Amino acid sequence: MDDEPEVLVRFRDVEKTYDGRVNVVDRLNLEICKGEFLTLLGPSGSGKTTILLMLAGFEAVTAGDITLNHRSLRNVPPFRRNMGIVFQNYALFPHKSVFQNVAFPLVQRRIPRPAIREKVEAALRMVDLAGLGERRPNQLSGGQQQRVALARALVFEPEIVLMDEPLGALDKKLREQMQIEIKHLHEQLDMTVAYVTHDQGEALTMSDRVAIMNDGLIQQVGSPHEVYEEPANAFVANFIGENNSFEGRIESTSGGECAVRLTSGDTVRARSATPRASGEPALLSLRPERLTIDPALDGVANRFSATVVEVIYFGAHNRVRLAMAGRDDIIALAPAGPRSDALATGKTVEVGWSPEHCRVLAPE
Amino acid sequence: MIAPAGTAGEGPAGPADRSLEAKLRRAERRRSLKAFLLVAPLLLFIVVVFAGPILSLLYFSVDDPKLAEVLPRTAQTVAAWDGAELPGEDAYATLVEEIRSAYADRTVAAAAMRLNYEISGFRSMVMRTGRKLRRIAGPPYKDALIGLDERWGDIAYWRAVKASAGPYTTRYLLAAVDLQRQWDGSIGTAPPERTIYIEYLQRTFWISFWVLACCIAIGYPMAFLIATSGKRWSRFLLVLVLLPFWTSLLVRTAAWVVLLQNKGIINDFLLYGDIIDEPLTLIFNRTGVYIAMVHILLPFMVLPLYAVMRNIPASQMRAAASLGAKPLASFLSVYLPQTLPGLGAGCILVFILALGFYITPALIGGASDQMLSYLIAEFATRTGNWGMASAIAILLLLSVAALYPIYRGLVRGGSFRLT
Repeated sequence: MDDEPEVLVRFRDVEKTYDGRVNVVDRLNLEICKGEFLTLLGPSGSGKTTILLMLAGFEAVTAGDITLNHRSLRNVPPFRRNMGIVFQNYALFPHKSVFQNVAFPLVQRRIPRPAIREKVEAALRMVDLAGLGERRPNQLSGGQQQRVALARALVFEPEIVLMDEPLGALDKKLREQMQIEIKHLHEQLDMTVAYVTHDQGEALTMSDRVAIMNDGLIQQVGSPHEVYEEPANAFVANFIGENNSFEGRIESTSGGECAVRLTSGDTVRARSATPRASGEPALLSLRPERLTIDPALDGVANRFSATVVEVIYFGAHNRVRLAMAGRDDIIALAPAGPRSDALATGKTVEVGWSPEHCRVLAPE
Repeated sequence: MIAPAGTAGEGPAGPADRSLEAKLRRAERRRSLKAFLLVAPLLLFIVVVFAGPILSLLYFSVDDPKLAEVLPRTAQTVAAWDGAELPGEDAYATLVEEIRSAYADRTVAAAAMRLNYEISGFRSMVMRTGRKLRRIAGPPYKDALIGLDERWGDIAYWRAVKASAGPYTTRYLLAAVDLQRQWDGSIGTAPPERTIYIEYLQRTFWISFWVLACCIAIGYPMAFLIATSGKRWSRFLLVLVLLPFWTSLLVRTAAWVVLLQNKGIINDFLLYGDIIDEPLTLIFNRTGVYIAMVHILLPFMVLPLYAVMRNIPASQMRAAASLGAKPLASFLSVYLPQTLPGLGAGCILVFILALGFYITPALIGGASDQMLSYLIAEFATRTGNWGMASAIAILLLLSVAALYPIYRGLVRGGSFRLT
């Protein structure tokens, strides 16, 4: 065992219910390590914000316990938890200047005035807002307000920074820019971040680990690469990225590879992370970018003939809808180029993919 | 002719710009005309029912036509008189002649009434003089009149006539602040039996202040509860606040009379529960006035506060807590400042409305709980002294106007507007 990362926050069998009937968070066991960027990703209502609110102390834990540095947070009020929070609507104080907003946590901690000035100015420089300290929040653009909120959550060097869909209100371009900036800040400051979003792109680009939530349960925790390339179940496969799925039954297994007979009668070779028995029903997951049109002959074990149903132009690539294996909703991404330009509706093409990119999952 | 270099370049652009400007002006003019037509009915309404009465109020408070109407030449004569010594035979002769004819026309009472404001008893004195004037056959009128009533030889009475000569007077306005004009034109304090107005003004402010304090103490937490509780609860609570609002003021006040009286529901309940042995005196005293006024004015505090609090997101307090602020510090430095515009609006509404309260103190209060409006009503309806009624009304109006800058300051103090 080498270099085990130090656990900062641990959720132990945490449950949360509002009405006493349905658990919005169910049997949550999760660890957040020091210096880690962990994203809770899930559709709205999946319980991810509730987890953040429980961690921050704004919602009581119904059962189980949350620890910070191995100490239970059960009786620690929010104002003693030392967590920086960035809210979706920023929650800047409209009656205070930018400087006063950022200074607020320091004033509460009774830090001497000169030190406050120094720290606030450093924080504002860090988020590129030097010189705007005298403005009011409503005199700033959305992106600038976001930076103020960020500076305010970071200036007192909290144990962990919680961000609840902080970029939700920004337009696409600004959002992408802020994603990179937050990521860089995370790297520079070596801070621990728990980030909540429903935007899978955001989760994949920013996180060290992603926890995918649905119906109050964690579906999978892993690196962005793992959750995208090796989805643990059908929900994860469908929620992250685009996904083609085929239904069938396991015909035979050898090592990690299975032969699956689809309902259409075709046989597909695919990989399985867990051992499967013959005759078991299976769901195959295949990313559109792994489905090649006119595949090169070598190394591609799965090969089908398909009919082009629709070609949608996306600039850098074309999105091609294919009819194959008894289905007409199979999507492939064809990079722009002479070959994809030649694709036309009604044309019959050869498609294929290699078994390692096709995952066998348990049906939902 | 050679054009200056500077204007040569502007030449071609000039006319086009001007026509664009003209077009803009035309469009603006049309829009403002339309806007004016839309507000015209309101404007007319305000002028007729608001500005008009206030202006007439101002006028009534200085208007003093009675003596000049009834005894025009006497008024002229005393106006020219310096007031240092008793006037001469001419003045007496004019007075006798005018009182005689006015008495015959039955118009003398109005002038006598006016003179009575200056010195009480003057009215009956003039009326008696009118009645007995038959006895005076001819000059010298001065001695004859003094013979009729020796007070005509008292210079104070003549000075009173001079003060009433009109056509305009400051006596009502001065009286409203316990002052009076001396015969030589200087301003001094009124005699003690007439210095009641400042006391009423102080009492009015005092009662309004305590009503306001109670409204804040009850209304602020209530508005907070309404703004932060769930949808169904908040709607229910809001109806509770609004329900009394939809009932007539008179009905509510009468209801309080029923509730508060010695054999009323509250006392019955307390007696029945053995909480008290003697019925509490809740009516015809200050306590009752406070209870009823706070109840009536509470919505005016709760509603503006609620409007502001509703727009403060819950994340504000959460943010404050997450940044390390204890609950009280969060409230004082984050929540309270953001509610100031609503609090200011509520305070101004409650205080101004309280200043003008009449019915409630009149029905529930005792003699020492009456406010300025009571005096206005008293003068206007009972004694018919419109001058005094108007002057006190102006005093009330000025008190309210003095509060306006405070309100502006409070609303502008926050960088955001009331919504």
